[in-house]
Amino acid sequence: MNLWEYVGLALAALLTLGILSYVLFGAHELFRLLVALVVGVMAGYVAATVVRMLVLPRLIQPLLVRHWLVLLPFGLAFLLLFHPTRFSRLAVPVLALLVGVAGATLVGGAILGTLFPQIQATWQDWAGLGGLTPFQAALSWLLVMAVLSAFYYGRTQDWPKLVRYPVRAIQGLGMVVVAITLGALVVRVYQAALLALSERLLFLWQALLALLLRF
Amino acid sequence: MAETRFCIWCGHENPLDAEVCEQCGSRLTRATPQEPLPPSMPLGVEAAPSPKEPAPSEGDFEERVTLLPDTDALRSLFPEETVETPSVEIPGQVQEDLEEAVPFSEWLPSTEPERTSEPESAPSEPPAVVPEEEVQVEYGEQEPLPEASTEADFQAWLESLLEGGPSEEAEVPEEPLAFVEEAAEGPGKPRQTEPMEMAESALATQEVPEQEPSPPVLSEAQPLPEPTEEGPSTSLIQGTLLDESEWEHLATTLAQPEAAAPSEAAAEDLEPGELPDWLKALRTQEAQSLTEAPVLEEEGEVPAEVAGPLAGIPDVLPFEPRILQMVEPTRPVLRLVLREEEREWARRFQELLRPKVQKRSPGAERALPYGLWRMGIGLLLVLLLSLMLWLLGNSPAVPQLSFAGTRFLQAVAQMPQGGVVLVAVDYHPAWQAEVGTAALVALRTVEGRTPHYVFMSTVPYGPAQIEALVREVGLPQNRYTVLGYLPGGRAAMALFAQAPRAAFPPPVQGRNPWAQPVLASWRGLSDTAMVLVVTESPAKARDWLEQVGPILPKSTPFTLVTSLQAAAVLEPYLGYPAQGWVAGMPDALALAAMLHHPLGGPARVAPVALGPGLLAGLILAMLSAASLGLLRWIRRRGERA
Repeated sequence: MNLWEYVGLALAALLTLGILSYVLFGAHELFRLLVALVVGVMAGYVAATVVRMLVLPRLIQPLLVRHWLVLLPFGLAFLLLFHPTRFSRLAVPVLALLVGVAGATLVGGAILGTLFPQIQATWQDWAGLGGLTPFQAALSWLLVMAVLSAFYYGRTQDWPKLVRYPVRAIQGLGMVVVAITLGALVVRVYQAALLALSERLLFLWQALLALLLRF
Repeated sequence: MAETRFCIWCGHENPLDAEVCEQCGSRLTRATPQEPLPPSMPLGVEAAPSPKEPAPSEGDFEERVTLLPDTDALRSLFPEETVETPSVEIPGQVQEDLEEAVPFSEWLPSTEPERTSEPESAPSEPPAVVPEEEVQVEYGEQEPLPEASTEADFQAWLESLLEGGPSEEAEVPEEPLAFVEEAAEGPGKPRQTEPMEMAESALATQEVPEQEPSPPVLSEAQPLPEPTEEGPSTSLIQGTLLDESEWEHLATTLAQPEAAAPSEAAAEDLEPGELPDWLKALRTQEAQSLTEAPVLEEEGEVPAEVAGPLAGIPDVLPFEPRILQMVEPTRPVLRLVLREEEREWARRFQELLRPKVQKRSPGAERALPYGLWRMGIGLLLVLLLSLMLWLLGNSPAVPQLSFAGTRFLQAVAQMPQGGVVLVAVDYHPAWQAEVGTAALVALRTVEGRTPHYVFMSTVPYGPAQIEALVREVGLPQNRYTVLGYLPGGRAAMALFAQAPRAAFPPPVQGRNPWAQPVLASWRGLSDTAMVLVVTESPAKARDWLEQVGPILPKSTPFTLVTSLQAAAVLEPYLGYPAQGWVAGMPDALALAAMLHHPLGGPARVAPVALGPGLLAGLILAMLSAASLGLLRWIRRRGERA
């Protein structure tokens, strides 16, 4: 490692210490400065990327060679600038197009990519095509029904007791399943956070050791 | 706009033909906050109907006399009026006082020690019974007030009143007190009657009965009480209970210019009246200053009178503050411009209130102990992890490859040699330690099939990650193509899945990525050996799975490199459309060990973080939560003590 690499290592260690000091001292001035530094660098990079990969190759360069067709999307984008003004009606068609296309894409993708595959996989388990034993298939059916019924928020007070009490019991079971699932997710999040913290601690010790050995 | 009627009790807006309020059920009157009563009108009587309106019938009387409250105190205040009141339990002492109570006609003159002038002639005898049609005229068809309000006319009117006596009721203005006050202030001068004055006027006129719709003192069935020997006879002059001598005194006094306006000298001549004991017993609080408004400490508290003989008695005139509350600010008030001194007063008032507003919140008291506690827990966790890294980091253990990781290996094994692999790099730089390491291992795994990589990203910071990843893997320049940043979110993903060249049009100038020999014959996703999406976000991964997964042919595996927490959310997609994934550091370590390409730092971190470090962290979290709960319990116990 040359000298500049050591300088970079020391700087990285100091920045890491400044961020980790949030645990001890909260959002102090150094922490805020470092967060602002991260956000600023990210914003600058994003702006540079957009200019280099979008504005220049897709707008400026076509205009330089007189490809006037690019003015159409540019004009639509320009109309969006009127949205916060009193001429906001000019931006309404463009916004309607964006919202409509985004909604249609979202719904279509959710149906084809999530809803149908999940229904199909669940049905295969119940039909014995998923390699489950009958007990496992029955348990799967019960848990799926319980979770679905847990998200029923309609009025049940008018139902007869013979129906109301079993439904409430199944709803409670569904809530337990949801709670266990969320708990598992939280544990995964905690694991990832511990991994990141351990990696940074190891980096700090290694950097400190390297700097001590160098100087 | 349809006409509406406002309830005087709750302010609710009701239809014009509604008899009772739709909100509070109170009986509605025609007087609304928007249409205040005429200044000369007593409070208990409504404004005269327009000529188009039918004459009020006897049954309408109850509706028209509604503003006075139906309180027992007010009824018992005037014992001469034999109004049937609901039976109320009265204490024994109060009952005795009621029996010994002096009639109002006797009590009111007794509060005045001597009269300034006596009437010149006694009025004629009052009629015992007032005809019903005259009553209707009295309450319904209000005679217009004389326009000429000169002093001479007023004197003549008063004299005619004294001569004619109470029998000429139709010629007498309906509200003599209010009219006289108006005349005293000056002819032609508009006068704004305050609610308190209206209430006092209503007390003087004594149009009390609310539950007796038929005129109780003006009908044949219920004749007027006979004059008593002890005092002057009581007559009904326009519904008042002032006797004739009082009328004469009033007329004479008001006719004198110096007596028209109330003076301090006249006020000093008056001795404070003595209230009956039973009335004093009704007082719940001491009378305040005459200038003080009734102050309501709590919402719903009944205000007490602050002036007059009823001072200190609550719920006597409860409508006054409510009416004041219902009145909307007028336009001049809204346009009010404060003077400099008024601004100074407001500033001082705000300074007075500021210490009360800036109270310390309960959380602020706990801030310091909580901060110390957080510092202690954080330091302990850091020390524990450091100790474990020092003790266990030198003997790294390889974690087991997950089921999804195994499926990923199978998908890579089924790839054709030399195919095109589409790699979407959509992870945040902050996840470089976990996701970046896993992506590095995944690319090294795929590298065994010597494919041509096509890199792209749907996040603006993706190109930088692509550059770092290519550098880490050590790919030669002819082995990969960077399409760049694709804006547009999931809609752009769908477009790219169907027509990649439309999503990334060839540039007008510069290097064309589609001109490479490998991509010249590439037909898109249907001609792709594998799709690999690198992201730490479950939402971004779901977008790719939903938009691109259904379009991919079954021969093209869809794989992911993601974080541990995102993999837990993506479990339902394993099998279809996702064929497998590399989830975070554990799968990366396992794959690296299988490839005989061990990782450096992460290989030492993962055994600590996933094993004893995780256990220590969980124990610390539970201990901190339990101790914080114990601390709060002790504090609350101390506060209660």
